[in-house]
Amino acid sequence: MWRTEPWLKAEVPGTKKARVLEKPGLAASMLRRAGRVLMIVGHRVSEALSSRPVSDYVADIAEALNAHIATTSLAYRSFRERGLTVAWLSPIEAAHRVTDPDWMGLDGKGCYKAVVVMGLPYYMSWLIFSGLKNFAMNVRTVSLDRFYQPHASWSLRNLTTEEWEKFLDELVEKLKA
Amino acid sequence: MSRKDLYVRVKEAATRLGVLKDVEIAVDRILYEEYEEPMGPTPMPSIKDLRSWDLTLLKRYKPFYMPFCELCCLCTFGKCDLSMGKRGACGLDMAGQQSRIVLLACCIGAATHAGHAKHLVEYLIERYGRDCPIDMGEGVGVEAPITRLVTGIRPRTLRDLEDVLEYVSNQIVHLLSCTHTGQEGSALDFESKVLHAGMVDHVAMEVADIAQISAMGFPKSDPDAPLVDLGLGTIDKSKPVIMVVGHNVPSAACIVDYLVENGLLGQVEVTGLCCTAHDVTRYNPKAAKIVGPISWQIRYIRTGIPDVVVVDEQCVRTNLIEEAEKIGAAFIATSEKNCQGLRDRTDDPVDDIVRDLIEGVEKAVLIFEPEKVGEVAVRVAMALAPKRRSYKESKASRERIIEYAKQCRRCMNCVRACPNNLPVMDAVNAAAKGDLKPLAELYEHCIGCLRCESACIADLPIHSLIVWAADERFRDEAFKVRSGRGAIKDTEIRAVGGPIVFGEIPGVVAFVGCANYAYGGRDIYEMAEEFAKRRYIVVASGCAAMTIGMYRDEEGKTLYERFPGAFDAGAVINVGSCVSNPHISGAAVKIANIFARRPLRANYEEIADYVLNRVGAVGVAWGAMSQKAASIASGFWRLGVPVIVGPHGSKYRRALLGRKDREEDWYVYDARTGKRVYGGPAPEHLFYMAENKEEAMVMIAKLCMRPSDTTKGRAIKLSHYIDLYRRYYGELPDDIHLFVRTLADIPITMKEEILAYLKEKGWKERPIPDPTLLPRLIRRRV
Repeated sequence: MWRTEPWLKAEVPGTKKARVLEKPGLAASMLRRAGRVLMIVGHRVSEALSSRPVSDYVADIAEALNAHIATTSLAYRSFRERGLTVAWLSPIEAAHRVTDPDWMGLDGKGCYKAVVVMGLPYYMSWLIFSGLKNFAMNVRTVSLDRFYQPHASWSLRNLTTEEWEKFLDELVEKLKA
Repeated sequence: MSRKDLYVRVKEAATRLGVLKDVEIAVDRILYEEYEEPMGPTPMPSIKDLRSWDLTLLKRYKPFYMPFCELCCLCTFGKCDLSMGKRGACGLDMAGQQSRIVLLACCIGAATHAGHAKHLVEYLIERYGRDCPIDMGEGVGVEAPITRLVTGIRPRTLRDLEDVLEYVSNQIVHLLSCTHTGQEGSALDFESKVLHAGMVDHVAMEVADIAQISAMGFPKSDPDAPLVDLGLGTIDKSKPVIMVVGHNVPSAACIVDYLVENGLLGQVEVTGLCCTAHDVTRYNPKAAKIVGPISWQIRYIRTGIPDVVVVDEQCVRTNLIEEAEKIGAAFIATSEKNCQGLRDRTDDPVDDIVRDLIEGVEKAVLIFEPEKVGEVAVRVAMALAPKRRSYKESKASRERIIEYAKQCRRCMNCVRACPNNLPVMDAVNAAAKGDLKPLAELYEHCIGCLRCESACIADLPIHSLIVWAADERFRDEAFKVRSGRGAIKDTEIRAVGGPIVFGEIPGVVAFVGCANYAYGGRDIYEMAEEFAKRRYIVVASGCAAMTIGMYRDEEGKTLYERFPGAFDAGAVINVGSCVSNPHISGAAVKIANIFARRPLRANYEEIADYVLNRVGAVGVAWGAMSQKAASIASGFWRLGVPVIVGPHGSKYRRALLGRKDREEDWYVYDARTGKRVYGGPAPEHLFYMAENKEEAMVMIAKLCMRPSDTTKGRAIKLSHYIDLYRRYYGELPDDIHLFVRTLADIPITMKEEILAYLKEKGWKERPIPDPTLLPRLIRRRV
């Protein structure tokens, strides 16, 4: 049961909670259909999983979805080196802009239909999802971190590191397919 | 508004006009004593008087709400679900509710400082008399810049401060009433009230600090205030030890007085945490030591070293009484705001209270009279210390830690309760296998909240395990912090006002607030060091001022030993406790008044406009936790000083963000011509949450830019911004074209590279305005 509870026990959400992304395949098809995607990325993507850092997964996902990245993490350089569309934009600032329906995105070509969040402190993601849920209601929000985020539209369950890595591996594989 | 100074009641009097019966005559004090400066437009402003300024700010810096709770449970209509566009039974929407909660928090913060100030002023009047002069020391003509600016009063004695506090109390009552069901309905108007709460909070804090500086002999604007001991390692545990915690210093000061008066100085250790610690060392730097910030309370008390624990008000851990009992220490509560359910012994003879505490008849007492607290605390500490040796010398063995760790049931509750999501369970399990290193590594990142222990189903003393594992480090903490100097001298402002406004001193960076750090205290130390080395003026207060003193360089020196304490480029200054923060906002005000000769008295809007557009100052509350921190920050915002908080600051649930991509947001009036001209996104934000240290460093440098910077100043500020950005992100920032106004703005060493970038962006030169957001300040319209 605790796998679909907020990871931080006191972070009790409101009346509507995130749907759980059980399978990487479902996540991949949902993200593919989502339209223009902005990834809001925190510094914890520098964490190394068994084979590679989380930032590599972020880059793979962004590449596959042609998604843009907003980050102030030190992974910024590696995203640039991968040739991705990335802006030095703080997580809160990026979320704030998403709430503006007139914002034309990092490339000036249109607003985003979906926001994916990875690598922020749990509570910061929690608050950003809450802000988007209430003030950007037309935008689909997805958490790909390893803890359940109740204010997202879609979130992973609370996972072990190994389960999360497996999920990300499969997600990337499906997105590339 | 003012108290009555003359009151005559006549039952019957025969006069030439006739017989007067039952005549009552009351004469109020004349509040607005005339002094050389004429009264400005907004003396003692009410909620509505500065609203237009607030709305000007809020038009540029728009609130972004991140609801921390989607429900409202403040009335019996509720709970109401406000999520996703719904309204509550009272009609309020989510934005309104979030801003209402922010206002509530700021009212709590402002009321706390106002209550603190009221108690302090009343106590000081009782002790030193109403006519005790306000004296901020040599070189200080403008003794109370915030009070003069807001109220129009120039306080000369403690008695004048009572009148100022009456205004503050009035405003807080009105502000708080706005949060009742069925009052304000507009989020922006709630935000305007938040700014009002912050402004009056700065008045309250200023009153508290100038009162104690004047009457209690704290350092008076002294750049060479003495260095005082900081850290557990400075405490001689062979002596009786008194621990003082809180913010309101009279009780702690009376402990010192008793020691001095009875020739006991040096025989008893007076050790403090949080702002009382700052203020007792300001009172007597030789008689007291600082243990550390707020988050050190539990780790310190659990060493068993304190014989007596004395608490006053604010930020005191509310179950400290239980912790004191566990180590056999006596506990004394001293504030009516924090009675702890204890019996009031204020009127009992000292001998009886001392006897009861020593014999354990009572383990904790409540005493409201500071002088009595002083005597009781010292006598009890001296009597208990020899009996408590076993507590002080107890040191957890490695075996004991391992034994505890083996009881872990691997439920993960500790990790899921930890606000920093620390890998507590893994560390405990490593300890169970004999490896204490992971536990010890948590020490730096633990904020001492004890939520892990509350959640633990095996009742393990997890916080203690962490501290025991890091025992050597904790016990070796021995640093120096410069005692809080108080205000900035007018003479210092005269010397640096020009370089700050012109941008040649790249900025004033204020590290303030609590110790709720997301990644440990080292971040804030490294930030302070970086900006001091870059010759910004670094100021600090409260717990942040302690934290930046808790790290040393290769030569073993703390920042306070390495950098001077005068308000000048490359300084590291401790102004003092929480209530000393208005010396920082006051310095910005003084720059406008003393350097730029802008009228000060009751002239808030003009001064705030000046600060916003010209004074490159930024606050950093990296570990901000409390409602007080919220109201302190909002007082800075209204004055035009942006504030950056650390990740936990996002829980304040609202940012005030500018949009540099919206050119139309950044037009100002050129006061010389009245034309609206692009001033650039400077400062870009008013309330900003940084996720990591590197981001914060870049943003600090960026937020110091102001539209009025001279070309030389802008070049200096840009060089720091670009240099820091490049260090962490490996390239030029993508918004330089917004900050370069003329070719002369470009830092010489980066000229070719930046020119190429500007060409790519299609950049064109633009004029440097004499910026203002207030049409009434336009001198000549073209």
